[in-house]
Amino acid sequence: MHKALQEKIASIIKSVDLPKSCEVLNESKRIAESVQIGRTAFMEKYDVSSELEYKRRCIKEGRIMYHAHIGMNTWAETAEGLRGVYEFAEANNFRLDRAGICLDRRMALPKEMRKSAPQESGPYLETEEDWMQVGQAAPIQPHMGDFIIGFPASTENAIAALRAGVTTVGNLSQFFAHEAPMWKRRDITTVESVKAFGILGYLRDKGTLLHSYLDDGFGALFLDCCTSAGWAYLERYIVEELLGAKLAHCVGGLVSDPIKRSGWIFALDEIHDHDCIGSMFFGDTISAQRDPEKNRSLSYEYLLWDLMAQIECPTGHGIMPVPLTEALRAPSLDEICEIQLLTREVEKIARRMHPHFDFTASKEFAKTICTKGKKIFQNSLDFFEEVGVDTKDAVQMLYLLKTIGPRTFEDAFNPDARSGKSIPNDIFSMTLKTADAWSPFFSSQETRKIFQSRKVLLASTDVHEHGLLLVDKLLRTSNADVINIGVERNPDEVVQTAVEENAEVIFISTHNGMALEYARNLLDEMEEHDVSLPVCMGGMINQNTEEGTVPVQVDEDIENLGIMVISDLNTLPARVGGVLE
Amino acid sequence: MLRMHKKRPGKFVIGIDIGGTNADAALYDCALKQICAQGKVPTDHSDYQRTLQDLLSSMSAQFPRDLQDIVAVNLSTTLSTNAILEGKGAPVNLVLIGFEKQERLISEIMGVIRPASLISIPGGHTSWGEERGEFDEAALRSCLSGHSRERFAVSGMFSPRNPAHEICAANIIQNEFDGVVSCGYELARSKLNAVKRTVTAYLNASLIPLIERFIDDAEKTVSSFGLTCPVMFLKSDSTLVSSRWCRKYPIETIFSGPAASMRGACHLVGAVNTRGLVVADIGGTSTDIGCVQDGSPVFSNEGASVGTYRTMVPSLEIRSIALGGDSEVKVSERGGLQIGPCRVVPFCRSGGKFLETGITCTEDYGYTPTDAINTLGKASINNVSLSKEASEWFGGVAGLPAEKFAERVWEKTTEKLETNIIEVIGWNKQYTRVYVGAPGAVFADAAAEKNVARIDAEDARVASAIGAATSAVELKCEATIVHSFEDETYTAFLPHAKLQGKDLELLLEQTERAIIEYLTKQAKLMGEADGHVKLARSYMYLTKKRVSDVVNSVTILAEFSPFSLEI
Repeated sequence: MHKALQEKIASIIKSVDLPKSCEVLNESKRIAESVQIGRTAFMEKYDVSSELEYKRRCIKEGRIMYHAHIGMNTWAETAEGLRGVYEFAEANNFRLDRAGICLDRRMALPKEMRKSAPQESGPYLETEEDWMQVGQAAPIQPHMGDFIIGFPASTENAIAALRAGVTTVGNLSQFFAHEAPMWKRRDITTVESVKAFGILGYLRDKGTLLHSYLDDGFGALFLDCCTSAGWAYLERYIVEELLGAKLAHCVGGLVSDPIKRSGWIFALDEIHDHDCIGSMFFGDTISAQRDPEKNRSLSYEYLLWDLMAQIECPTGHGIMPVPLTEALRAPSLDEICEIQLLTREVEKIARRMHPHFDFTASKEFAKTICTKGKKIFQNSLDFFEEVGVDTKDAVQMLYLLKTIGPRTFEDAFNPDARSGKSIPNDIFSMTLKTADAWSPFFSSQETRKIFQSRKVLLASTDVHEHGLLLVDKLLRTSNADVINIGVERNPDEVVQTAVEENAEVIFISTHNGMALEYARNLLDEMEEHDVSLPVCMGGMINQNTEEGTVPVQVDEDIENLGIMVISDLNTLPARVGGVLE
Repeated sequence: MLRMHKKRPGKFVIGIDIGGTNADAALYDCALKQICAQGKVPTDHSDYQRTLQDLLSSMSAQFPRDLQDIVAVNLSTTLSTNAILEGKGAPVNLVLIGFEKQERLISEIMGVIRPASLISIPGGHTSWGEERGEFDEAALRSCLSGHSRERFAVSGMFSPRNPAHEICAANIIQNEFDGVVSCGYELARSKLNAVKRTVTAYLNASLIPLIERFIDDAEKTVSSFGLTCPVMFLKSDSTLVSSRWCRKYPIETIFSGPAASMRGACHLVGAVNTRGLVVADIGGTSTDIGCVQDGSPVFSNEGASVGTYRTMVPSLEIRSIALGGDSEVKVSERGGLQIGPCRVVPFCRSGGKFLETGITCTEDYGYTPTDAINTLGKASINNVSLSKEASEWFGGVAGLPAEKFAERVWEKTTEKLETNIIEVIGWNKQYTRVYVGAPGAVFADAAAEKNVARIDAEDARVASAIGAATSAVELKCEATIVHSFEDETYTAFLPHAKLQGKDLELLLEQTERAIIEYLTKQAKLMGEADGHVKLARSYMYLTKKRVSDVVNSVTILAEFSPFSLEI
């Protein structure tokens, strides 16, 4: 395993010409010297020069911060939303400290390319005036965590955000797991991101914070929480030791177990040497159901834990309650206000309960993942050094880590991840639970008859692995001979491996809105390579297009190409059995 | 055997089919749209020129006074098919571009063909026509040293999506090494499959010398009869190409025989009845069964297979069964009958030599369905009394009187044919059956209670030649524009090039202009200088219900119609 990784790393380093980190940081320094951090309406009202200053004040005062995501289609609607929430808060005697502005994904691209990119959803900030408005719509501190830093437009976005008074910008996690639309130059993304991180580093004493939402990046793709903790250590090392910036971690959206939720606060405190300044703590999205009323009681539970964790270990994270309609659609302003008000009531309960609450399990969780995570971090650094990587060069480190991906990282540095010794992350646990629920069906005589010793090849089109894991487990239960080649597999790799391994059927899992494009490319590769095999596709069978903001469902289009779309696991054995005959 | 109609002034086409057993000819009156003369001679596979001479001689009395009235001689021939099956192709060097990491593909290709040398060069493209690797011209030149004036087949990965590397290689081979080249993309019709494409290019290159000699001989023979018209050739899709085209792409003439007989059957039945036809062309050894739907023959999706070679040449969807007029009939100890698969000379053609010593079957002679129909009085082929004597003897072995035995053989023969026809068309009563070939009329009689189109028995005998005579030049191609959602571009894949752009309408215009230019050039190669190109666009949107107006792809069908056809 390590030999293969060593060769892969050597090949990655050889294949790209990257500038030295020190050269990039020289540029960061020069830019930072010309940037004057602006003042937002929030800073004026609370007399602070940065959000960091405000957070430290809140920690000192024992005040819990609150966050809301304002995700409207245009800036005008967003500004109206901000004003609306502020007025509601004032009328109901509570404070909303910060708001996440969810920008159009085009903002990740350099300015000159944005016009030709497909329009998506979210405000689009074109001019300096647009940017300056961000901090003036209402006395709520803007948080810009999507598509600002970690993309090719990192530098220009960082400058614009700081000048507008936005001192917490992100998203380091997105650097690893995402890319700007239509953009293929990973090297430029890396260089510009480092430049932007460097600017934040040089302005650290002015209170800048680099936000990283672990669940948005590799953190959510690891199987074991210990690997996620190791990754948090690694991010802190790169951002704070190599680049001089202050890292503000965020977690929570994909964590449903309250022990883990609260445990992560304690873990982040440990990882940041008890000087953790968090951006926000995301509400639980994976437990959300389609009935808003059911979500009300779920919300009470996790908010109680989140609030008590902040009381127990103040880290400055803004509590972010998820509106009750989350699973249905984008929330309205009323729904955002409703959950904010509800959370203030829960805080009162939390404060009463806290003195009597036992966090032993949460702290055990934190201790375990930090202990193992630190080892994973250290092992990875040692390995990289051993194989010739300059671990002091942020550009090289970030490029390499982005390229090798989460699966390779975890398999190399945490072999326990797939064993019983791991602490599975909640998404992985959910997958295992789902697999258990389906196991009787897939281990039935009828299903085993279909799959017995049949060679099936599994692959995912993108970084998402859990659908793949589910099908892997179920097919193994059916005694199929499973060849799982993992995530981010290109069509030519799938076809090549299918031939080498004499696969009899191919299963593709897809979740990145490119189902039709991938299907076409796969069929072309099969045709060109004279390969004729049945293909199944499952996951999010949709296609991003230029027209709407909503991807188009393409089940029919893919079926018309001759690929079986499996949207119900019940139908999988019968459909595949029909073609294997 | 000759039949002729009353002579009229006008333009005429001679259609000739050189088949496995016999060669047929038909003289087609273009103005009256009818056959006015026919001929049939045995095929001499060792001397096709002689066969052609015999045919033209047998029809020469029927030529119109003015030889200028013969506007074309259209040939369908088994030459290419037989040359491939018998391994008579010329040596060819194989150049593969972009196959360095494709060991399995190379192994598959080399398992089928035996090139004189294999040259593997970096390069090739992706399915979007983007360069996968830079084409190494220097490496090619280095490998070509010592290979001047030789034949080459060139095949690049995904060349139908972008033929640039194949074109570059072909130019180097032709201009710097005086070589003869067949490129994969030229024969691919925009379809993918690196194995089939490579094999097709290789076989094509190997056939060129043989076909060139045949074409030279054919043109000389035609000219020696005082004819000044062009000699045209049928392709596997039954359309016509010029000899100039055929010299370059001889592989496209494989299976032109079955294609000719399908076309001939359509002509004989008439347009009204070609909505759903099933055609059984009954030969000596085998019967070919094919379908026509809405006036067009049904094509196979797979391309023609010749022996073990799978090619990209379009081929009709034909089921060939080992059943023919000369199929050997065997009688088992219990009196059971087996028809075919071997072929023998019927007793009616044996000359009676075995009757002196008692009838025994040898490798050469045997009892056949031809003998059965002679015995039953349904036909009168060669020596009927020899057939009757054979029926008597074999009937004795089976414990049956002669006529009963012949009836049993005939029943089994028609049953086997009918079973295969049903397997092809299902129980669809809309299909009209057409029986062509020498015994076509007899089979038609046997199927009288079914939906059968009756055609003249003599016409049925020479249906392939009639198909050749009534064939026409058709030039079609297709371009597909595909929408890439990843980078919001549109890519047009033409047979000879790739275009790209972000504006769909603009790209459509550019593509249509390019395809008109391409087809016009191809037509010139055919010898058709004047004509027009008809275009038809077909849009595919995301989702069948058109929930979105997002274009998934656009297909442009282009068809060249020469003015010369409009007589």
